[in-house]
Amino acid sequence: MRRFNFGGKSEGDEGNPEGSNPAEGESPAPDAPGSEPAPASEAPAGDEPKSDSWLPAGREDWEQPGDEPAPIGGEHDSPRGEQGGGAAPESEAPVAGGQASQAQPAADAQATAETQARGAGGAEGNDSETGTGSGSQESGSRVSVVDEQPPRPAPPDGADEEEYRWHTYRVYPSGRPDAVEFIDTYKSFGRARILRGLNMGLPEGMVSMVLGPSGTGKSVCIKHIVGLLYPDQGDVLVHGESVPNMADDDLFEMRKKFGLLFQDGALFGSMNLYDNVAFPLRQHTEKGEDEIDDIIMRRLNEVGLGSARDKMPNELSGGMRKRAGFARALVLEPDIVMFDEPDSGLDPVRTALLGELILEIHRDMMDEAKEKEKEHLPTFAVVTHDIMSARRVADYINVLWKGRIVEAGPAEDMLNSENPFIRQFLAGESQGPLTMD
Amino acid sequence: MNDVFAAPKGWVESFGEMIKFTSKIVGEVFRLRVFKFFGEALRQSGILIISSTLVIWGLVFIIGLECGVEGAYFDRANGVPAYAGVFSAWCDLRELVPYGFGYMMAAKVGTGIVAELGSMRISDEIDALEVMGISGMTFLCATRLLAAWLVLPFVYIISIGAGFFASYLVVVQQIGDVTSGGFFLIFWQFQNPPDLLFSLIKAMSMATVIVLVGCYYGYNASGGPVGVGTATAKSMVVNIVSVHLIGMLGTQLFWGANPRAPIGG
Repeated sequence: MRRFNFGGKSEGDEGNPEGSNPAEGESPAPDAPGSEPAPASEAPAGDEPKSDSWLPAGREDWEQPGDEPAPIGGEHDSPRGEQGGGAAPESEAPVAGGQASQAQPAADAQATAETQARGAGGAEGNDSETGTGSGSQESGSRVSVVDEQPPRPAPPDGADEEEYRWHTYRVYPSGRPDAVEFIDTYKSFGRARILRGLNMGLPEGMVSMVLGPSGTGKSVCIKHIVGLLYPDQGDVLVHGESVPNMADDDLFEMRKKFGLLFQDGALFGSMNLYDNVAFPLRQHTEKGEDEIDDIIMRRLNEVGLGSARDKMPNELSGGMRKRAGFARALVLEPDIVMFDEPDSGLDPVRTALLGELILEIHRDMMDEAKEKEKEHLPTFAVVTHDIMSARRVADYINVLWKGRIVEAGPAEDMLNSENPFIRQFLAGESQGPLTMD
Repeated sequence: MNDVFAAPKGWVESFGEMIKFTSKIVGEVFRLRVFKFFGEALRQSGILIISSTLVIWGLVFIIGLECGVEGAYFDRANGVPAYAGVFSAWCDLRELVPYGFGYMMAAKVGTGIVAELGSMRISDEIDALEVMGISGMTFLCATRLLAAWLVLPFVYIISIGAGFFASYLVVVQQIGDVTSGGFFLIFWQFQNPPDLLFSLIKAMSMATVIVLVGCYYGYNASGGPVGVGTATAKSMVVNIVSVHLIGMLGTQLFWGANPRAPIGG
């Protein structure tokens, strides 16, 4: 994958429009003596990875020390406060952008506190399951597998460097493989160029947010992931498989991995709520009506619509339609669930409740995936421009602007980013690089 | 100069896209993939029967009345009132019943398909279907085509009966220039089972084109409610033109070289 991984967050490269390598010319952090990744065998005693019993079969190597450790403690490894306090691999692996290791502890501590607060009630304290990385927050070091930064990509055709000056293309590692990857993806509609060399990943087992101003191609991204749109150039991979190159039959088979909540729910107008939610089960499974009924009622009750089962879509409010769409998206227990602006048209309270519901169901699906040792952990992707939702829900944030990722990384890194565009957007301020133009 | 050719070029492109799209739908039926959703095809058949048959039969009945009136007075004016059955047989079976059937199919079924699929398209329902791993083209379009093929031959044959009955009422019961026996003697002399088959082929060709055109414009609708309205209007124009083209080609093909009439040797 041709994403640009910037392991450390150094102040020197913030808002660096020229794209100079932030690691170059800087001294490595004290706890990161070398620029080469330390092999696992060189990890100090006691830094051995914890048992990754929750990892899918064959994926135990996801977060080995010196391989792809989480940049900040357990937040990334155990979304929403699941992180425990167990020992973690740290220190010996290199830190790219070494200043980060000294500048970061305070921010990390704050981020950790926020994360723990966010995860209160849902924290499992499951040290053995959360695996690696928790301890790195103690040292404050951010560990990267990247020892060499790629050159800054050229701006897309028709754009100048100035237009993309705030795009640092920095991607803080998530410590997880990407369930979905965009590779140099271009997409135009007529003269409107929407995706302009997009490189983006949605890490597996996390709730990822794709944030960005209106009209930057967030919904277009979702349609590329599920194969409703094809890129003009580039590729989109889902669990390593190229979506644009799939035959129709394979594509329809692959789509069974997805649950997608559309902006307005996209319920079938000719069916009542119950039949809408039952539709995927009736089409794709051999389950009997009794079993289907159990599943449907469980899902409808989860979203608080058990009593509205016989209502037609036009009898439901916008919020109810969204919740019903959510229930329908989940009935096939998909590996990847996507939400296209779940907060649009909802009042703040219901937006918050929907966010909590997303987190709760993701947590349940994670538990179930661990229990059943599924090959892939559930990946949630939320497309929105609602900052409050991002703060509440996101484990990982991609900020998209002008068809490219400005920066991406675990929520804490992004919320603490020094990039003026990111800061402006996440703070919702009127002053900054983003204007009405 | 480029502007001169821009519009025709656009039409050719649209026509090519339409052919490609409709071929795919027909392919889904012939490859029997549509039978995966046979329940939906039966549901669509039921909708066709319940919502469209009466209005088609009603229209064709009225056309049969008109054929009877015109035929009876024309033959009376030419001194052969007993031959009013010729006009009824040919007018009903060969021309106006297929046209009437085609008009009502275009107005009721074709526009209904465009409006329904177009609404589903703009409200993301088709995308939702596709994301569930279900081919919208098969589930929405091929099932409708199969339903039309299952139901409409019977609907059409009954339509012909309605047209004949209306002509009989006018010629024999209302105007009364010919007896019932005399009417039917001529009436049956001037038609035979192949004529019925040819008429059925004309009508089913019209029905197939109308369903496919409806699916094309509905499935590919864009631009919100206005776009759906525009697509509906366009489909109606294409369908009416197609109905007449099929009518003309069918008449030329089946009866153009040989009138299949027991006169003139």
